[in-house]
Amino acid sequence: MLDQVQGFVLSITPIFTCLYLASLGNSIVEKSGILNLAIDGAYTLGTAMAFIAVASVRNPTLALIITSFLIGLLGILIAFLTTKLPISHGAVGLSTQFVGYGLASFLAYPVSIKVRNEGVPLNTYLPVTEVVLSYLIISLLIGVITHVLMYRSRLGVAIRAVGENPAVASSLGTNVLGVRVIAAFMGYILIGVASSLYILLYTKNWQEGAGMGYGWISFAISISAGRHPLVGMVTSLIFASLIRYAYVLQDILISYGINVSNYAVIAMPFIAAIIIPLTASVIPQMRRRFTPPKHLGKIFFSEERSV
Amino acid sequence: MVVVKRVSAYTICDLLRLLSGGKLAVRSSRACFDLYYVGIPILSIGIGLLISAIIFYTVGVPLDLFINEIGAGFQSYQTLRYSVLLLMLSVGLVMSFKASVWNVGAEGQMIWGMLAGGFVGLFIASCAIYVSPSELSSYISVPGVEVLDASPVKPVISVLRMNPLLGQLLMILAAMLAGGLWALIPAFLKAYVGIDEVASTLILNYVAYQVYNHLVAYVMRGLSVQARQFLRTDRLNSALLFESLPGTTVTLQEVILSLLFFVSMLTLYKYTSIGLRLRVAGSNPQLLRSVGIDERKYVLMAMLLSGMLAGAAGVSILANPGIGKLEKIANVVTPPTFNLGYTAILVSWLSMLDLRLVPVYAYVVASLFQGGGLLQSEVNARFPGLSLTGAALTYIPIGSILLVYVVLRVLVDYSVRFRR
Repeated sequence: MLDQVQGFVLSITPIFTCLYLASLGNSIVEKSGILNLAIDGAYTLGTAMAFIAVASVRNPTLALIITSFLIGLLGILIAFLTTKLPISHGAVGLSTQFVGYGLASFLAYPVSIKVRNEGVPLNTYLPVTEVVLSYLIISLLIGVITHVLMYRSRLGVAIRAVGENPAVASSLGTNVLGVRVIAAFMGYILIGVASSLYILLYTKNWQEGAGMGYGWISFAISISAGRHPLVGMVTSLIFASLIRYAYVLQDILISYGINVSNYAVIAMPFIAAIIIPLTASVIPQMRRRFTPPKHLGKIFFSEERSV
Repeated sequence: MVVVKRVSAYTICDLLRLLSGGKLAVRSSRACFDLYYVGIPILSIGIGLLISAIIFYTVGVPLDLFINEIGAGFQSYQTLRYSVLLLMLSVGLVMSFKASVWNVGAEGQMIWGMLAGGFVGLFIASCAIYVSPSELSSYISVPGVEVLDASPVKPVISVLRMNPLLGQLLMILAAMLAGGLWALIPAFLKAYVGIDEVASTLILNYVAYQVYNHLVAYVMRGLSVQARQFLRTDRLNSALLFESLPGTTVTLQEVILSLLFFVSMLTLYKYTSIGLRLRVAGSNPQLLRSVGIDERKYVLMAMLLSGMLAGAAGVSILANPGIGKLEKIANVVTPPTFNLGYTAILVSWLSMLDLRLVPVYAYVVASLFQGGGLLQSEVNARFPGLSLTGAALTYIPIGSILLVYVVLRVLVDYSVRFRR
């Protein structure tokens, strides 16, 4: 029994961490009122950067730190553009996403050829119990810390106030730009960690298109958990087990005579990413708790307050 | 803060002021076709291309090669085809963007157009059958019959079952229906449940790719040996393929379709109440509600229109004589839609959501798109060590032009003043 639980935890942790941390990052960014549509671009770029970093510095932890810092800078850029200028959050997010896709393919593809041809060893994390368990504990701990930060600290109150109504927050003396930059930096660092773990702990290699779409799955996880750090653990577990045990599910369904192709298995998390937020928003009690911040994605332009 | 009325200023001056720390002020009035309307898209294309050129230069793509190949894109005959497809897609996208429905799922809607059009073309308007090898020669002279696979063991022929014009029409209609219905899913989610349509349309693109793979591999897989080997459908009967204009790769039918869509959308938008309501649904949905119109229906309408047009673009790609079949997607980075669904977003934004400007920017962006393709093949031929990917060459210029445009777009409504 204990062995089974341990086996389940060990097999599900890699995908769980790389979904949960990204959804946590998305929650922080969106709580501050920035519509986070660049998440998939950042995720794809992060996997590419982690791959390049681990191929050059040969140390997974160092690669993880470099990647998450660089992705964090991307978050600062997004927060700055959307808060400083009166421009659509969706437009900034979408164009950053395309730049992210392009740069990921541009930077990592030559490295992947080099790795394959010259046999460069990739020092990713070993799949041993200690490493996997420590990442599980670290990510759960980060979740709890985020919860404390968001709901028990001054910074958290400021972040939530800025997301609910930036004009009021600003007139009460909060620096909207500063708070959003901090929130986006923290959020994107978590997205960077998650996308590095996608390479370093989960797939252990890069191919073109790696990580594409996982940003959107994390986005859906975060939305269906109402952007709450602790509820996110449950929804992440659902999605992680869906991805990890999709082929087992396929076997079970086939044994009942329902024919499911491999393509349906690949599409399953994406279909769930549509359906699970849907159920969360149809149930009235959940809908009230899980409402998005009031000014999520709305343009806040401090120069125009008096107009 | 002072509201300043713009008298005369130039985009570039404003830009320099902005960079050197000036503050934004609201422009109180602007003419319809002033310098900004034309200047900002062109400026952002220029700056975006410069950024991409610098990015490619850092790995060793010479600048003159970049400029040459992008320039060659403007003269390439293939450009015409991309601009026709982009026109078709972007006209639909502008209609939905005008209603503030950000449909970025044109990729998935095109895929559904391909599937539905392909299904009608392959299984209803024509069909593929095995014949015995000895009888094969007797079928060759029959009109409407085409040999798909002349293998001596199991030859396959394609038999036309209806008038080819009717068949093409059915293909186009089925594609538009399928694209529109696929677009209605995120539209319902947005209008009645309140789920953001940007995320859901993008997620549904990934679902559409896998549905495509499933249908191509299991349901629509062809009979011929090559089709069974490479997980693809049979070729469409050549009578059902669209007709190439002489000397180009663009087909007569897609030109007619895109012009038809362009004119009809322009009419719909300018002269009908539907167009007016779409516009109001985008700018002031409360007004629609207060005069007793359900604005949610116009969200559905906007999505349906753009999905239908994207479906038609999908079937135009499939029925091009150069393609004529559906193949399994090996990697989601290189779908059979050539990522035109995302490129069309660039076209619609650069044209400032003005339908009249869409053909111009469809041509400009198609040239850049084609130039990117030329650059890739040229670089990979000349510098084998560089290995640029197609995704890098489409996404980096699209993304950087868009990002620059989004930032510069501010200057249309605001002018920059130094605060004294």
